[in-house]
Amino acid sequence: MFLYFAIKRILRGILMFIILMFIASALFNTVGEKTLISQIHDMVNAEVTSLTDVKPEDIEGIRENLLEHYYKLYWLDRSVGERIFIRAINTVTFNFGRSTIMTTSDGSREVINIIGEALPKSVILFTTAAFIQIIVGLFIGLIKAKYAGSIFDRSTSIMTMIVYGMPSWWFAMILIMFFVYKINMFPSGGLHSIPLQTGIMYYIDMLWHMMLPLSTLVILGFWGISFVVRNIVLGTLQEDYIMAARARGVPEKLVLFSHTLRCAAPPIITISLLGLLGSIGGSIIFEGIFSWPGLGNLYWVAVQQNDIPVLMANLAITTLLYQFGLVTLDLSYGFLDPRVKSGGKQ
Amino acid sequence: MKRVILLFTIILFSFLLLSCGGGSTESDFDIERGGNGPLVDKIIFETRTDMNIAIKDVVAGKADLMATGVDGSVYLSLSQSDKAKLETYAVPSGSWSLLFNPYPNKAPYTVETKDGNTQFNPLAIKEIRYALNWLIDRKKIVDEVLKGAGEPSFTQATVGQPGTYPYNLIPINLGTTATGNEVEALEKINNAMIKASNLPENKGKLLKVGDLWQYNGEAVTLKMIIRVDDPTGRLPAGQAIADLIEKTGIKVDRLLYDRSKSTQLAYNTDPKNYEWNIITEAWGAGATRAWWDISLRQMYVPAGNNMPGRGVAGFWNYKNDEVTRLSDKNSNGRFLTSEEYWRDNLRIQKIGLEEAVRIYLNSQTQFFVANKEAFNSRMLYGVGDGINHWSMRTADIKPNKNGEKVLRVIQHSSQGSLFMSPWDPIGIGGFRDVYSGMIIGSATDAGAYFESPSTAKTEFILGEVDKNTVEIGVAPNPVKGGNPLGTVKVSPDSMLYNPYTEMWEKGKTIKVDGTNVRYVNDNNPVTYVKGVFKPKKFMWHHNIESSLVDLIYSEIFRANIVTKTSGSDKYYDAALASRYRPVMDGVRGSVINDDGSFEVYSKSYWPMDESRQLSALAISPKIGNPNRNTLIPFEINEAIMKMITEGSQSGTVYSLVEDQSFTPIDVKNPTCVADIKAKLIEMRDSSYVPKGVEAWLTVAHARERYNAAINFIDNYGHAYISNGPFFISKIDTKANYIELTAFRDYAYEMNYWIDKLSTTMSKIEDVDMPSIAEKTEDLSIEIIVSSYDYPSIDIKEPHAETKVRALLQLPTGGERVYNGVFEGDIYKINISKEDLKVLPNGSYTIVLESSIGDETPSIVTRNFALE
Repeated sequence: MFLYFAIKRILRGILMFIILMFIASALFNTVGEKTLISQIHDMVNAEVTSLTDVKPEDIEGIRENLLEHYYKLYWLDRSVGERIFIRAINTVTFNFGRSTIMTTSDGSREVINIIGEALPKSVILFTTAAFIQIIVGLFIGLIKAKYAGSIFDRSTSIMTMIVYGMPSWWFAMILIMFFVYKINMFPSGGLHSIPLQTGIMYYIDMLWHMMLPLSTLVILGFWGISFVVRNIVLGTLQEDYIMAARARGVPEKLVLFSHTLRCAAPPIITISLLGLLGSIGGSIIFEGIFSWPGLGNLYWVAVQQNDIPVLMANLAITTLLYQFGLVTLDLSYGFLDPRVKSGGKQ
Repeated sequence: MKRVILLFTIILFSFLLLSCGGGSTESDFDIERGGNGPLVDKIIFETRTDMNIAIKDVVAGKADLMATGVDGSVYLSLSQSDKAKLETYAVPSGSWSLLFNPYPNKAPYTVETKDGNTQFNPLAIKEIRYALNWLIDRKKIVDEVLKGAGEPSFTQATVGQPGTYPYNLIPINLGTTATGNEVEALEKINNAMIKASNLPENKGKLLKVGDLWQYNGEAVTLKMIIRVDDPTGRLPAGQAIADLIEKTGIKVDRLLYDRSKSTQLAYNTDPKNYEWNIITEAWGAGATRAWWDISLRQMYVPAGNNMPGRGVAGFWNYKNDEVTRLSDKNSNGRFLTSEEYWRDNLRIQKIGLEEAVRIYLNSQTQFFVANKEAFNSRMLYGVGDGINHWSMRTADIKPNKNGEKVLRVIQHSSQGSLFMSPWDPIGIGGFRDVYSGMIIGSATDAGAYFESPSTAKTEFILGEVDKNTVEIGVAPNPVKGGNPLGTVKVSPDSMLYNPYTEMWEKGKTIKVDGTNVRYVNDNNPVTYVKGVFKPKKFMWHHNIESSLVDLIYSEIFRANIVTKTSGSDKYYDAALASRYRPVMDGVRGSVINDDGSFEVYSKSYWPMDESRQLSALAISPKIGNPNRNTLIPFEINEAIMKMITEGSQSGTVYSLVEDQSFTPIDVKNPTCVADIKAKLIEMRDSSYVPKGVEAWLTVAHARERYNAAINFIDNYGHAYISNGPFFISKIDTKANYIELTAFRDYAYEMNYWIDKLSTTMSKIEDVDMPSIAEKTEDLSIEIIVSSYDYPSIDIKEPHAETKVRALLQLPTGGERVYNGVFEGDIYKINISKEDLKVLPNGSYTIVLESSIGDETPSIVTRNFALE
């Protein structure tokens, strides 16, 4: 039964991804082609301008031939429908082609390489931070729920209100000013020291560079999760079966972690997984402050440079990851709550 | 649990080690400091994505130098304590201008748009464009937008740079002022609009309704492109100018566009389409300049391809026959005297200002910062472009605890990339971005000569011209409008390479007809200049000594790349050909003497400056990439060209052309480097000797060079072999940095360039003179002058050799010179009442100039009224 549900959900996810890519392709088609046509005209103008000694009557012909060549090369001579279809198919099959301006550090123009260079950097920082935020948030949330109304609960709730609305870039700057420029404990940015360390020191060095941005993200991020966890768990703790378990003399730890958490798991997992997925896209401002060349920064520069292939690939990959996350969520619901599985069969 | 605590302790200890040591390891550096090369042992280039963090890193000593200029709004907001820790290099390294779409540039000034409507273009009226010079308060823009970090300007010749004052006198003489005159401008614009409305074609259509001008019942509107991605600069400046224009009764539609969108619209659309009217432009200085004829052509002459239409066939193009004729004459050396050159250039400037298709607003000062503590002294820097590769060559920093002098340079890059363009050492587009240019400039002595970063004077580096052998002969052409005639005889032994026969031939010259390059018998073997050039030997970074083959090959390459010998000639490159072809017309080659020197014949005549005239006789080993200071040995160049013409080992299709369907050459890209290496192995194994160099290159020497290049690639992982004071020792794409190591076999000693290019300069600090002079009294001017030893900026007493002059601009043209006398601690100049008496009443401009030797003089201009 679960296998049927899982296959159905996965296929639906793939279909959704394809539909979204077609929509994105149609949207980018207008904007992207406008840019592309301008770039082609720029290129052709440059080439025609360089033909200083050609007869004036030949220039227009040369210009038209060049335009025809480039229009053919980028399928601009085909119908709008065909173009959208070709682009969507290329995107769905991860055939992103070459960027118009941006390159990788070693000069490659393959979009997949450009994304591939930035993506792990975002994952290593933001996904790690999201992971730690979830664990710390869960832990504090449970304690808050357990001791609801206590000084700890009330003081952390106030802290949540203070910290949650704090802009990450501002807090990051404060931490940088203190830890980097005041007590000189951490580097101001980047992933590695120069020159690159080797062996175990390579990883410790990376951890050292991650420490400040990671701490900033964690310090700002876990409060919200703990508050949500507290409220969900607190609601579950009021249920009759929990009171029954307590009445039966089940140890409080077991009540909290086994009975309560299992039932409160679906919404908590949803928040956690969405948080993890959200982390993959990186953060434009945050990455800029810490000289962390991840996906957020890449997206920002691609927008600035009008590099449509990079933007399209960036969108495709984040959409795919989100679809993957949503499918995983549904499957985990099915695993945690049998009612979801049966619902899938209908 | 104990293991966890142990692991935590280890990590904490490592952090402490890292935070104390800054992450450097001793084993990575191998110092061999000797007598030649730069003062530092290594340079490390890295990036910061946030400008404020980058500056803070320099303040805190985490980096030594920031190679990116900081805008005034950022720099001036730094705290005093931060500024005290910085050594600042402030230079006027950019300027702003407005470009107008003047289509159709003639009465009745109306435009038929694509949708069939007719619109009125006020900027098609020359008088309105010109009047905008008075409408804009440039001083206010400098004070309020740039926070004082700039100067009002009216021409492309940046105030404070060498050779600019003759150009900047023209707008003063035209009556422009930094503050403008809003009332007068509004009146002039209104009068011009009224005049246009009275034209028969516009009668009843162009009307002033209330305060607003209307055409066919619609508000007359200007579409102004304002750069939104310059939020502290051109955005507020553009908004302020738009507000001013709206005071004329003309509506302004503000198009807040980023760079990409604005340049596409303004520069790549036909002005006839009428999609824009005004764009706010910004220009980087790029270098220190002494001669402004090129930028004059670029900014005011249609042939410079920067005027509306950009010279694109099929577009409507702004035309002005007089400036085109004068500029063609001057930029092609078709003049006989220095006076003729200046007269024509100043005429172009005056027409450009009066036509007002582009008007300049201000120069922009940028601040380059270095950590004061880290350096022993100030570096050389471009007085026109700030920190550049000369700074890297002459930086002297304190050694670290290991005794190494490691210069840590950071660059601001939004993407976090060290470079944004392919490292193609041959094609037009290679090393196009600023940072690639700076890195490569530190590793390369590209040409036989360069322009001094302080005075812009020509200095020789890879050889010299024997002045005793120089012969100049230029005579007027009896045919009106014809080029001056050369009278210097060309030796019958002079030869050039003919790609058709693949041989060096005597008694030939090159004729360029369109794109066709022919090698014909020289029936009139005369030229303008001849002289003997003695090349200087140098070591390449792969430890091969330069030889004649390097110079010979560069000539062969240039001939091959511009000459399309057949339809299937794969060596021919259209972009490079269009750059080289114009200078090859009429080339008569050279004679190679037994001692390795060259007797060179040149058609370039430059009577204004001896050193620049001599530079026309220089021969350089530079191959390709005319836009950047790149230089590679022939074996790398030949391997790349073979990859393009014959295909590569990896199957990648490479091209010198910037086309997305091909892969650009990139000498740091691992695949491309592997392909270059494969070609070198192939060339070595087949004992390959390129066509044309057989007489100067033995098979054994060729193989030695191929092996050395292969070893270099194996050791350093890239194929940029050059000859500068640094070589690129590491390109680490993972940690995102580039390491340059001192090349101790460099041709010049450590202090050579800093001694050679440092110069004592004078500066006019203050001028005291009356604003009204009377003919009955002498005009007395007092000038306070100081001196400083560039690159230092410490002000001292005026140097004993300081000469101070006043150049009184006469209303009839020309100037009268008065020399200053040093009395007490000031210079005094006296213009006698007898001299004043003969002058008509009116407003006068006086240029005050101080200099010590032949360096760029310090210039201050003042105006006074004579009554």
